[in-house]
Amino acid sequence: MMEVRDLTGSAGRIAAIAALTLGALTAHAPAQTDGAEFLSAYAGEWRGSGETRPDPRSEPTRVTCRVSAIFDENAGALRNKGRCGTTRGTRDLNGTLRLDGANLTGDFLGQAAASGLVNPRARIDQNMIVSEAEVPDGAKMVRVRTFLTHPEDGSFRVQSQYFDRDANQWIVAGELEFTRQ
Amino acid sequence: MPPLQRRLRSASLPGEVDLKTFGFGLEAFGLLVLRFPRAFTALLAVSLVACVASLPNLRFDGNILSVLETDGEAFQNYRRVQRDFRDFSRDLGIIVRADDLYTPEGIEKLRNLHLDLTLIDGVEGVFSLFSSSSIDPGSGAVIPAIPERIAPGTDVKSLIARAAKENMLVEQLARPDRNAALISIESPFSEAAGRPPDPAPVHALIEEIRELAPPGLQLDFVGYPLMRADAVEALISDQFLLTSVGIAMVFAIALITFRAVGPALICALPALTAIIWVLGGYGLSGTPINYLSTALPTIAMVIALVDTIMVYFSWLGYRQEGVANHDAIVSAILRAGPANSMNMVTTAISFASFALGGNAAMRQLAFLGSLAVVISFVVVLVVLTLALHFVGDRIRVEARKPFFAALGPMVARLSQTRTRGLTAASIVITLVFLPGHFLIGEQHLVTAQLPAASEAAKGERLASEIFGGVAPIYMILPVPKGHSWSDDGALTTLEKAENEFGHEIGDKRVFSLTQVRDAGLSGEKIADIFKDAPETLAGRFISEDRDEFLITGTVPYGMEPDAARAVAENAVSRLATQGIAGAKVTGYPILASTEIPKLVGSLRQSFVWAIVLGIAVIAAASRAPLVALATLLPNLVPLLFIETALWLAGEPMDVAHIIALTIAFGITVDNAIHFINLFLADVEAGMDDVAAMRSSLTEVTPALVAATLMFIGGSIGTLFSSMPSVFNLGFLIIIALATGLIANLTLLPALILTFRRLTPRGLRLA
Repeated sequence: MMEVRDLTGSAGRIAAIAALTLGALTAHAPAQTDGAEFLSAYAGEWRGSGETRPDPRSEPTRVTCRVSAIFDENAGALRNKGRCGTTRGTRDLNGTLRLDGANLTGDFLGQAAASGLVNPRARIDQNMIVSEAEVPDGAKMVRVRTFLTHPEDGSFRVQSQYFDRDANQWIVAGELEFTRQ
Repeated sequence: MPPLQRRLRSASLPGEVDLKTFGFGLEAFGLLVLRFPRAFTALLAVSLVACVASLPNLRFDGNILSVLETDGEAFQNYRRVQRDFRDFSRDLGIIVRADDLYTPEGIEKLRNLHLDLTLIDGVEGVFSLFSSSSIDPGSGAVIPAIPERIAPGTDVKSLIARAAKENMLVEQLARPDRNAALISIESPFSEAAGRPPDPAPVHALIEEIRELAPPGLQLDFVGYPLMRADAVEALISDQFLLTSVGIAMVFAIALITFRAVGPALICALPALTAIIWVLGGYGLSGTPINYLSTALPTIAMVIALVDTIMVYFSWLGYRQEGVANHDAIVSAILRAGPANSMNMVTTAISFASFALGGNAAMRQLAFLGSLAVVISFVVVLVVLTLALHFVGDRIRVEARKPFFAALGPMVARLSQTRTRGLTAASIVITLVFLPGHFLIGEQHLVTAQLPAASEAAKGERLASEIFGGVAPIYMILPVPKGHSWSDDGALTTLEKAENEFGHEIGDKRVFSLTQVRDAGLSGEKIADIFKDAPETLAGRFISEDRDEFLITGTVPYGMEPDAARAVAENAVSRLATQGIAGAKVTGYPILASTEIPKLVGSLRQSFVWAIVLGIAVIAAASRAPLVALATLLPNLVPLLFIETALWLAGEPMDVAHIIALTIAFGITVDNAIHFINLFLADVEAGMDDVAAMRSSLTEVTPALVAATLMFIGGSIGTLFSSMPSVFNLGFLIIIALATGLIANLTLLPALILTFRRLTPRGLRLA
């Protein structure tokens, strides 16, 4: 009978990681035109599935998401709506990523999903959005990072990792593959 | 000279008619119509246009629980759960079946289905055997009850069986032995949220779910949104069926009766107008048609047809005697109208008696039913009068022997040669069937109100068979005074209550916050989580104001009323002995066990009042109390016969049954009224009892047999209804009418003769 805990705790973290995963960004874009072109590639209907961990101590759980993204060329903004779900809970997603000069502001999935993240930052690197942040886990802050590949052949992948201080290495927390619908 | 012709001749013209005023003079309305035919034609045309234009606005209400809505504590507690905790009426169950469901491949298909369901728009929560997990006390890791990965070759059935021992949710939602699982979703359909479960969106959601299900999974659906959607669909298709079959039967019967298209059309017109007026009335007033009122247009139509036939036959008789059309219409209205008026009054009284049921649905049925009966009376006086006024001159009126004419003298002979035997038989038959009235039980199964072939009914049957029922039953428990809902003391009290509740309906059939706590979360942590949790989730466990706990269990919808009452009483009283007060148990089974006996009891009381009032009205109008009293047994016999037959068949008295019997009484007594009307007229004309009996039976028998067959024919559409309640209503009314006809033609004359013989002439009022 743990759906309560999972919906608000685990799924909340899942959503937080997903938020980071999908780019809770305040990033420097290489250039306005490049940034717009880069963001517009995510426009469309996406369906993703994969695994993610509720928290670093738990085993990965299956997650499925759908995202509807619209790129507003005039505003230079990518607006996203959707939902992610696990067998123990769901979370609505709603966010906007906006080009502001050379910067990207806002967040991909909305403040609710990104609220657990501390100090989010991102960059476009090697044709991927790489985002980094910290997420509280008990009394500790855990470093997390996410790689978001550029859409290619109708799909893109998202991999999130957290840093295990004891093992002094990055551990894969989750991975989703999105395909265009 | 045949009695009919004799009497027609003696009362052939207005002013010369000396019949007993038997219908409070209400038939005079027909004369008003005749006086201003153009004005009433215009009014009729306007009303028909307005009614037909409003037909697209017809609304249908599939609330099959409406008969349970009372001011009683049980229903108020039921509503409290919806209002203060969560709207459980939006829950939709998905029964998933597959031969390989509990193999590593099958179980992953089930998991995929669960995950896909989470992404459907409007679905707020999804619960399955995968939803359950616990917190490892050492590491704090989330441990799912069913592993996230199931290795090839795993014995999944054994794995599930082990998990079910520890976990209530798995126990409730998995049935490895039946290769079945239950997934519960919180659908978007909530009346409180302004999205009632209308058929189109409910079936669209079901279709969407079916489309996203992995191949090989067989899905069935169960739950209140589907029940309502299916009920509304059945009501809509029923209305088409009842109307079209009714119209076809009305025309066919009229055609057979008159063997000519003109008279058949004229006699069909009032019945068709009655349907349009009743349905138009619903459309214009915005009154939704529900499963109780769906048969009213048909009933109004058939009553109108029978009344029409009576007036038409009378008009025809006058015309055959050479009376001019206008005068024949007046005489026919004055001769047959009083009986029609009295029929209207007694049938309306029967309907009105439902208002004594003390519940909004019954009061509405009382109002709508009475109105439908009044409409059917008025419609005959307006439409038939106008039709005869405008085209009566053109109708050929050559004398033809009425159908069933030979029956009249036969029945008359029987009543006169077997008077004592028939009188004794009425008493014996009544006494034989009387125990059935007291022995028959009461029940109102929500599933019995669903169309038998509907998806909802199939789902309910499967849910009961595979999962032991999915009807929610709740215990509301106040948070102990001096405690916060999340502190240990409060949760310990909750645990005791849950144990007692579980003791009554099954340990693995209840859940509450204590199981969340037992899975590894402290009360403090739960409180923390609930701060951000959606109310639909927190509402499964605690009221919005955090003053009451909710313990939820599941039982079959068809749980025996006594068992349901025992669950509630035992659990509450055992808690009281432990010093835990204020617990209340509610849910559909409790509602049904407490409200249905009350409702059926009060309807039976109403039924008695309908009989008493009906006979009192006949006595007052006829000023012949003895004759009126004689109508009691012949009209009780059909109803007692039906109750006994139901009891012998093991069928409890459902709300639809008692409604059918009450309406049937109102209609069968009409036969008696037509007969008494003529009998008293003959007595008034100076005949002795025996002669009056012979002459009135000879005249009235063919008409009553024809009218009853018309009534049965017009109601035959109800037997094709997909709604069991409508079928039962129609079937029981048909049986009651058939037996009522026999009783009124055999027992009633004998009883009248006996009563009048036993009473000194000076004491008779008529």
